[in-house]
Amino acid sequence: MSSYIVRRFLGTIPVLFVATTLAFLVLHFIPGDPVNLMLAGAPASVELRENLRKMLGLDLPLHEQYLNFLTRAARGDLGISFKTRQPVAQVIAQQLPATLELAAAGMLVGVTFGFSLGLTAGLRPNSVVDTVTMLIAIIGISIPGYWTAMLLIYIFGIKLGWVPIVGRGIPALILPAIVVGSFAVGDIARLVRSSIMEVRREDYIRTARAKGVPERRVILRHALRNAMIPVVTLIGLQLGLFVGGGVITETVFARQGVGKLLVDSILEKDYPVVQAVILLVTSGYVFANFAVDILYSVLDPRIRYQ
Amino acid sequence: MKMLVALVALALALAGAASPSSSQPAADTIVWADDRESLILDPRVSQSRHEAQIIMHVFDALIFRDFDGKFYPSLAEKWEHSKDGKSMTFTLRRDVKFHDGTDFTADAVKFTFDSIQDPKLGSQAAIDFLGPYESTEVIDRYTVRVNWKQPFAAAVANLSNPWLLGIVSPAAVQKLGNAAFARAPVGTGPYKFVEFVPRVRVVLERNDQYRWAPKAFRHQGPPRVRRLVFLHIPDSSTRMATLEKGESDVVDAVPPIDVRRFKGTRDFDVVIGDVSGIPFSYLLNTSLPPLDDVRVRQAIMYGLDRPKIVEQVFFGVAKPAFGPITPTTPGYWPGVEKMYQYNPAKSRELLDAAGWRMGPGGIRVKNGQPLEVNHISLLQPELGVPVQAAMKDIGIKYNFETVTKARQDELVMNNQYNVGEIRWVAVDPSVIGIPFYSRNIPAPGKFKFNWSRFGSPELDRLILQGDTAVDPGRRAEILARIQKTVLDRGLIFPFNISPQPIAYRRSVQGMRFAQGFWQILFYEATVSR
Repeated sequence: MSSYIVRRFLGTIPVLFVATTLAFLVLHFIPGDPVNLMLAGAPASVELRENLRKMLGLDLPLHEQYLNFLTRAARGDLGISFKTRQPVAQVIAQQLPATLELAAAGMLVGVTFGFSLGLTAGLRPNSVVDTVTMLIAIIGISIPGYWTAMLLIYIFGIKLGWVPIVGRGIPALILPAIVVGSFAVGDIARLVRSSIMEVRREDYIRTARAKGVPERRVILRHALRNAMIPVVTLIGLQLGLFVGGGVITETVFARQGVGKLLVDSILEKDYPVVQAVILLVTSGYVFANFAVDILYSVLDPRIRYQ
Repeated sequence: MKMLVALVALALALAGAASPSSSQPAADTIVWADDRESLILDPRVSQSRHEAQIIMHVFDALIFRDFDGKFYPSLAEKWEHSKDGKSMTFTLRRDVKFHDGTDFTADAVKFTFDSIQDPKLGSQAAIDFLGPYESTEVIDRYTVRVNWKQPFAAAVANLSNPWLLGIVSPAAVQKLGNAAFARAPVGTGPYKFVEFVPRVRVVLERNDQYRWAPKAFRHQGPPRVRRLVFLHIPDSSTRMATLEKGESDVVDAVPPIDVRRFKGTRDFDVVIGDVSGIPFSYLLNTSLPPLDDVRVRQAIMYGLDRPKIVEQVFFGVAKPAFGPITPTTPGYWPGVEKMYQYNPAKSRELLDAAGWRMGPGGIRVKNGQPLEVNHISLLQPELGVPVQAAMKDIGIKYNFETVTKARQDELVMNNQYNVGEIRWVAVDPSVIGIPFYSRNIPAPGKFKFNWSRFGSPELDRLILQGDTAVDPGRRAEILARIQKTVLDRGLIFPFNISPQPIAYRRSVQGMRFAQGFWQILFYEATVSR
């Protein structure tokens, strides 16, 4: 097991290298000059622009800029943000807690409701309950996040006044968590449902029932546990998505967050920040997948890694 | 199930660790909600008018300029131009202290202006605002002389700009370094910096020592409201929702539809600033056909009914513009209002005279080529539909491409457009030179602003004369000639004055527009809850 973990860990290094190199190339080949974008159309003189380019190292040839980036990154130095002139690590560290908070809260909503709906539907396939719950799941997937967000703000923020519209802390986290979670609810519910339906037809379920195991126990111990494997994979992937993809929720609720930081930085071509966020999000995905693989062996003792 | 429990625990731990939110503003606090974020609070570095909203409360300039264009002593008690117009001598107040307790002296003025010239600071606007700066001489502790390489007409206007040439505390800059100073600024202004949460909020607190307010204000002494909170709320619906609910008091960039909803209601009202500088305008590229013919450019200009289109698109929030600088800008020449009044018959006449005959499908043709104009739109794409319709009416196929800033810059540098869009918030009329100086014609790899690509020695000479005419009367005369010339030649089509609609809760009183009609000064404001 431990040699497996080491191998998997080393395997992430080329993945991260390729991801950041691709990001570097794409950023440099799409049109737009970081200094002109930073000045946002202000009537700045040519001398001022040249000075900024020099200061930010943008006057160097592309291969030199890339080498500088690699040598710095290898030392753990992610550079200075063009826009805020802070160390990039600091820029991201300021945004990360809000993102993790939202991802965890969103996942909580997604898993709780996704599981309940999926289980309810999966145990009574093709019944009225099944149809209704799946309809709810599909609505959750199809409604765009900004629309849900505006509706929630209007009802619970303005009309009822139960929660603050912007800010931090648990009350201000409720609405964003519902918006982010509602994507996951649909996906999880549908997967739990089909998984449960499939597992219920297995021989070991019939055996368990034949042995006289109570139905509740059959579902929870035998069926659900085996049905979990694809669901855990999905949750792992979605957690990665939450870290990088919360941009709409972050924008509507005026929250800090890595997703919005990434989008703003791409639009402004703040290279060092984009590189670092890509590195972070890629690592997030890689490690979420890794954690999922480890979880498999916990859920299913037949799966063993060497 | 264990995972679920772990997730619950994690969420609660994280949420618990976060600071509690203040849903309602405190009684002696004004909360401003801004559509853009503020990241750099150093006047020497910043170029953003949103950052300016904060910076101007933390810093004072040597001179104070009111929104009506009048100048008042601020950090300088008096000032004097040298005979040759190349230097200015300032007598400074002796009772001013920075927020860090150090004294404001001539050294601070010299330090501020000299440090702006330092390439390592990376000034994004202040360095241009200092003009042809040469040096600052400390004559004694409270007298200072600023020297320029040539007479600098914009000197008084620019030196009265607290968000670009506000005086910084040398001790604080030396202690923190430039980068950290931009996130913990120290000036002499009515408010002191307290807190900076990147991309979320900036908090300022009243400077209780403040005794040097310009006489433009009826109120003197420390400001009345204790705290100013500047929130960044990018989404306009959310921004308006926070105002409605009471999580904010003053909101900028109000959408036209919400101006109607909030204006003159019981609890709220809206003020609209007619922003100074260059109004939202089309620049017509004279270097490519078909707009290389002045008659075609003029035909376009006569063919657009500005008052009507602007009213339709902006619901009365924006006013039509007629000249290359707005009426709230010094040196505005009212003669522009009689030029290019809507006259489609004249457009058709001009196009006929230029050899463009009506062809199939209602599009004019010359030598087998249809009359086609490519417009790149970044700033006001909402004008596209009415403009296209009006152009079709006179026989022009008007292609309207909505572009990103990056794409716009590429097309501009590579001369692949017929019409582009500009607008600049500026307090001094010297901004008029930027799109018309021949040295500002863009080139591949060189992004510059003469998008009409019209270079003439005559216009260059006029602009230079305007920039160096220290006498305001003489300057106004030159500026009038520039305004007439660029319109006569069909280089720029001014469309509408940029509006700055601010919605506010009526419990907040005593706000006033800063010079330029974009930012709001909270120095005299009061709040009752």
